[in-house]
Amino acid sequence: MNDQNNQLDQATSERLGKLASMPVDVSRLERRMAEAMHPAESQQPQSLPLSARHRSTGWLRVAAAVLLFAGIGTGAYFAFFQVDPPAAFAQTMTVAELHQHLLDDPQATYRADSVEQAQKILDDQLTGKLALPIVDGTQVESCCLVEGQFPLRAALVVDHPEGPITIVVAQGEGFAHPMAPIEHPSGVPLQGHEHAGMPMVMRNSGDLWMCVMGDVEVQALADVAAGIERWSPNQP
Amino acid sequence: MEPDRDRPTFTQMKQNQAESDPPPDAARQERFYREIWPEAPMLMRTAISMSHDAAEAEDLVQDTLLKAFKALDQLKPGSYPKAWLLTMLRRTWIDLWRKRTRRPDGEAVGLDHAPEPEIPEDAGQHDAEWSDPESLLQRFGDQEVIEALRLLPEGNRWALLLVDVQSMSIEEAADVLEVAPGTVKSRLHRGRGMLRDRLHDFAKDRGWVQSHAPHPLEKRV
Repeated sequence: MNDQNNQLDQATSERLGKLASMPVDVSRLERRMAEAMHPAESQQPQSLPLSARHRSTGWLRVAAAVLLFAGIGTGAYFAFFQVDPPAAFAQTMTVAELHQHLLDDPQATYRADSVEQAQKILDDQLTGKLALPIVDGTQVESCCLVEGQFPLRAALVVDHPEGPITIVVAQGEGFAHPMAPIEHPSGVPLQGHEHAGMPMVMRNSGDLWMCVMGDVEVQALADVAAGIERWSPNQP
Repeated sequence: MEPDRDRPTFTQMKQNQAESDPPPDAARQERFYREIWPEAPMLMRTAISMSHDAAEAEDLVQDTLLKAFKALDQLKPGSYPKAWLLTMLRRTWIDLWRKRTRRPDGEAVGLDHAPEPEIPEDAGQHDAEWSDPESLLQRFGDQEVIEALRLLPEGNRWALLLVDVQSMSIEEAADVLEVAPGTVKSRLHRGRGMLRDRLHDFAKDRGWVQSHAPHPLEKRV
């Protein structure tokens, strides 16, 4: 019996050993790591998390937008586009970039100190009473969603006691892959995910989705996400 | 709604932290790509068997590699980084797991209390039915083997991944897992038996084996 066990264990071990040569695609990871560490793209220290390093390109876009909309002059306009062509100014951002962008630009961002205030800002942005905090026509993409770029509908920062949290609402399709369901006492269905070590809580309603993200406990994100009562025009 | 400019923002706090981090260093990058990056596929293969999906595995590996980059000075020049990286991957995975499984009161759940898949007591219960194990095992694709691995308890899964997949010695695996070598041995033996049981279920579904004995779950019905 022992011989048979040994033989079975040996065969099992050999089959598992073949997984060591299983092909894996690391090209996307390579791009993410290069983006995280390439000194030409970022003046940030090399050891910061990826999300923090997104700030460099986020700042370029914000600076460009400010110059453009302040009408500083065609000279500045051309100077900008000499550096960064219009195509790069198309304002497609990942949720993580948008999160960092909002935190980097506190003076231009709508900030709320409570979920109630956040609700008011969301209501006003979704109904067009308030402009979006970044350039109109901004598209959002997320690893959580089926591939594509989606129109941003609302974005703000909540100054939570544990740290700043961003709320982003965009029009989008279903989740690209199953995420961890979060059970919240309110019964609101929430999904958990993480990007570069930062947790995010997603909520979906029809063709709109909301991402609540921040370097805080998941519970805090879930409380904010579940506390928003109206974030879709279809909701009463 | 105006921002409080006296209060340090999250960004400022991160920038302050950044100032205390080591400066960018081309030599460090060069070393990273020479010594660490070649191990990225190995980390991805391991992470895929630990994670729910490829996206989560990629996040896990990226976090691990960034930690490795930051801690590169701790790695002795010329040393083989596999065990060092796998230790880092496992700790990153535990951090991720703890974040995801907080109790309602906000307390992290210890790994010892992690809910484990329901596994019958007697691992290897179908072993008698494996008349030609080598050829049968080779019929399973990598994805099926990974799916079966994902159904195993954490401790057994890590032992199999380190020793059988990554060809580490029992002692090296024990260091990575922070347990005694004897524990690794018993987890390995039991893990292999449990893996065969899971694969036996797959094989039965495909008609590759005929079960003569009733399945233990069927006995309960």
